[in-house]
Amino acid sequence: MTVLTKDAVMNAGSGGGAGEKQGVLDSGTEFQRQETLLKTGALQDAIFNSANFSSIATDANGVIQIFNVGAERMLGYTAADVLNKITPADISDPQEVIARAKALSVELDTPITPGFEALVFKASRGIEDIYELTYIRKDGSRFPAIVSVTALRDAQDAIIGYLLIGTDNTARKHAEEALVKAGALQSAIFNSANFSSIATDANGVIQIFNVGAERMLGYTAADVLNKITPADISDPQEVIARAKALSVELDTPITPGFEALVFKASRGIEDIYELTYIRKDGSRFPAIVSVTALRDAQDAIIGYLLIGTDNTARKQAEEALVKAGALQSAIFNSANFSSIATDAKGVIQIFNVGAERMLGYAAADVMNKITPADISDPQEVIARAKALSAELGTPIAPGFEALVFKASRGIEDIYELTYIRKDGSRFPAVVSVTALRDAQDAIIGYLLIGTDNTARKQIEEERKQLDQRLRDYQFYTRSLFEANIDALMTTDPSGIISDVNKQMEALTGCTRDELIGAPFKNYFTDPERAEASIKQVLAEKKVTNYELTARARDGKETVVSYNATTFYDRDRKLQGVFAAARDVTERKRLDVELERARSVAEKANLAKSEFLSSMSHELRSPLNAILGFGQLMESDSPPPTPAQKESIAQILQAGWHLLKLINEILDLAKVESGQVPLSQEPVSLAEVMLECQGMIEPQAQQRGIKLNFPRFDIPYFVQADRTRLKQILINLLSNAIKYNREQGTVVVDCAKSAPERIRISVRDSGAGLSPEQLAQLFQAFNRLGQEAGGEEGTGIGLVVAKRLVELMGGSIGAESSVGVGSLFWFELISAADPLLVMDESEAATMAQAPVPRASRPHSSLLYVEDNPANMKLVEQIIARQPDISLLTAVNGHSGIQIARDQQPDVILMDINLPDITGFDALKILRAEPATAHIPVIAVSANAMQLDIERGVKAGFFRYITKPIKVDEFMQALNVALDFARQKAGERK
Amino acid sequence: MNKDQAQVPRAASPRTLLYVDDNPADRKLVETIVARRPELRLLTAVNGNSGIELARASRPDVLLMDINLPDISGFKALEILRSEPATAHIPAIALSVNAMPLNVESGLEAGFFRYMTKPIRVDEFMQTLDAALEFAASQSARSK
Repeated sequence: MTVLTKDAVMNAGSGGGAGEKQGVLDSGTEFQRQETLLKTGALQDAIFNSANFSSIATDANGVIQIFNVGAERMLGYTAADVLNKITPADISDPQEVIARAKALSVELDTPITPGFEALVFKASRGIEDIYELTYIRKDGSRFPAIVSVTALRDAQDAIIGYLLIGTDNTARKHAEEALVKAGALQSAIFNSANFSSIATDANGVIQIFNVGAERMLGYTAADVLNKITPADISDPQEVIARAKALSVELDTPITPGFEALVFKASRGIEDIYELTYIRKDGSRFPAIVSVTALRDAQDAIIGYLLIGTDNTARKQAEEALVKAGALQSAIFNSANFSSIATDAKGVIQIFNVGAERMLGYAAADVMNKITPADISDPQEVIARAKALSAELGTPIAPGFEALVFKASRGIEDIYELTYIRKDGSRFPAVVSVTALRDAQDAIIGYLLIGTDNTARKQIEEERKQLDQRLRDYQFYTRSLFEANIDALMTTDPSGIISDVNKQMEALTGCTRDELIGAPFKNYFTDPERAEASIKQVLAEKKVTNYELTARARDGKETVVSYNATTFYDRDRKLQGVFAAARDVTERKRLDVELERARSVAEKANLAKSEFLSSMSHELRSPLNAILGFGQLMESDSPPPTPAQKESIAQILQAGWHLLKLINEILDLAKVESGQVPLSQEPVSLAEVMLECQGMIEPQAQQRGIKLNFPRFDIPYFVQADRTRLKQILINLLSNAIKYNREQGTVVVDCAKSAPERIRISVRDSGAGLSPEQLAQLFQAFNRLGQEAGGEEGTGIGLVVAKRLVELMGGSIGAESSVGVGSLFWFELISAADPLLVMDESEAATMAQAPVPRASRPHSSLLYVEDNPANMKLVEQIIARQPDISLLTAVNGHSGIQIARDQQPDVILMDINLPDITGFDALKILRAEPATAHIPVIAVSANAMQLDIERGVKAGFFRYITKPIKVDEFMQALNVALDFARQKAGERK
Repeated sequence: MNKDQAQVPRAASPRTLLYVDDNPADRKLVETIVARRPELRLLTAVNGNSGIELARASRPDVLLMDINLPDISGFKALEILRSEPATAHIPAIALSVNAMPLNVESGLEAGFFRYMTKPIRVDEFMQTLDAALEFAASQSARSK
């Protein structure tokens, strides 16, 4: 049909042909029309033959004479349907025709009839006329058409008909609709003055030229619409270059021109490129052009959309962006931030790598499809909408609006939100929302930058737990702090109080708030001293028992003893001072009382000692006369009569007893006033017992009492003062004899009672003691009911014994059963045999020592010593020195006597001798010419430095301490012997 | 002084003792004891200062000195006598009721030849006196 119709038209146009048509048109008209058509040239011909243009030719009256293939396609009529039958007005919207007639009548000020005349009147008047018109198809459907009308004239310029070329405006409408469909963003872009949006038809003819394009290019839309293609406003050189490049790239010849600009887009390839546009005034500017092919429902290309942005602006924008900082750029490109950009309605336009990574969606999954609200927790979105509605007092719909509402109002908005991943899992995000605005400040979209808050949430959770633990711990610490009975405080290094407890508040009468921040020193009567204490703490890291007097607000003063230390943080950085102030008022008071009591006791004790001492004096004086003259009378010549002698004996016995009592009291006074010099050294019990036995035997024999001393298979040694040990033992033995029955027994025993203790016990066969009596033992002036008995005694002896045993580190006690007897015991610390003290080297020294020096003459040595154990040791040492003979003495006086008589070369002198001290003995020796020159070596258990100094000062040649070390002893001895020989040589 | 000299005529052989004590009973006792030794002559003084005077004047062979004297102590008297060349060499025996070991020790340290406590034991007294006389004799022999 189409072919036939076309043939018919062409035949008609070619001027001969089908006879049936000649009847319709006169030959002249036919010819002229042909001519005209020829004149219209190739373009018109192309248009005429194009299926995209409806070309309808009429006679002068409007009756359709030609109806081309485009018309047939667009309108649904065949040429035969309309030729010589109707006018174009018959296929036009009648209302529009009437409206047009009216409008033209007004415009041209002449009555124009609605009908064909209205469609062609302007053209008939020689006015170019293009207008929009709605054609009605054969099937009754309508379509918008752009109709261009041209009057066809003969050679005489008489109108012989009209040519109406129509284009289906549906395509343009489609384009516009497509643009709308492309979304608000594109719409925004399209309507934005910042984008030049140029839409063309499929051939490149500009159909739309938006405000942005007008602004950028300087053309009005009317200048370009239906007139030129975008290639006409582009740099020709660049168009040529682009055509060349594309030809190479795509391996197909592409003509320079519009095709070069849209070829890729026409092939469905997204195409964005830089292009230099040329303005109406000839100036140029760089543009970024994005080309999209516009397609109809059948996917046929119906045009192109070229969106251009002035790249000058972008260049500036890029610069601005660069200026805005690398940070934003980094954020946007970072995989650690989900950057989601939406259009104004919320539809996601950009979904960066970070968003993909976090949410699990690919950009393609979400772009142009969903809004961020679709990937958010719906409950949270609803809750947020509610909260915002309440907050801002305006209803906000749950959904995207809730997410961006604040941002849309220009309020900075950062909030927490739970995003839901593609796999349905969730994660907490912190989202920052920014509205994207165009130059006119209209919102064109939103940017939601999110960070995965999971790690932070976890940290927060952990911190919460830590905080809780910290709080618990702080509570614990606080409790400790508060529970303390002392006033506690911390200060910073400058002495400013940083914390206090309740006690501190009580101490100062100030509240915690008042105290914290105040200088520590302010709360004391002596601020300088208080401040000095802080300085001392800082300097010495702590102070202890620093006494200060706190002064409370009400003036109450409290003496506190304060201990403080510095405290540090984990990095050992000084934080301040921790101080605890203890109220010592009470302690002070007690101290004072205690001191007073002690002083009273001391005074009393001193008074007692003084009393005892002076009593001794006072009693001695008359005793001196009684005993003195008694002694004289006893030995007078002529001798007294037997009766007188008896009386004198009674006087003397009573006198000496009295003196003994006085001496015991004096002894007790000495012990109690600490005047007893104790020289402790290893003492052989066997020897002491032997000596005691000798002393006490006569007394026992007097009463017929059998003494039983132990046999010493093992030589026990105890740490004791030899003289005092004997005193104790004699006291116990004499008691055992005194308070025994006639012909009774006394059994002495000696045994190890503990690893380091030796117990000496004395058992008698006397009357025994009741528990009450036992309890009163060892108390001064308590003679246990012996008042009635005939025995003499003060009871002081046991008291003194007890004191002495205790002074030697031992203990004393008694057991008894009435009628059987009593057992008194004492324990002393065991000691090693002094002979065993020698170590191997000493033994070696002794072994070597016997080698006599040939040149050395025979020497003599006097050793004055009451302790047989020491004596034995020295004897053993000297026994190995054949050139030395040893003389011995057991007390000071006999030692002096021997020294006078024998003139030894060297004297060894014990200090603690039973009669006079070694010092006294030395003095006497020095005072006598016969002995003054003899070097005297002190040998003493008094090993204190003071003792040694005192000894050397007193004139001892050397001072050696017990236990004797053999080599030290020999060395001192040899030096002394050399010295003595030297002196002897001088004297000769 | 004349009186003293009159009381104690200087004989060639007798040794002289000076006893300083304020207690008359003690003085009488010592006088009685010494009376048993005809070779000895006893001078007495009742206080420290007169004792010193007498010692200077009579140069006794041995001094017997109580410690608790009414004017100066026996220690002080000894110190004065020791400081004077004429009397420095005379051995002095302390005779006191102060019987504490500390008393004895300090007495010996002060320079007393012996320290005897009251009541006097006649035997001990005689021995000590002999020792002092012997010492004095050896001193004077040396000084000669």
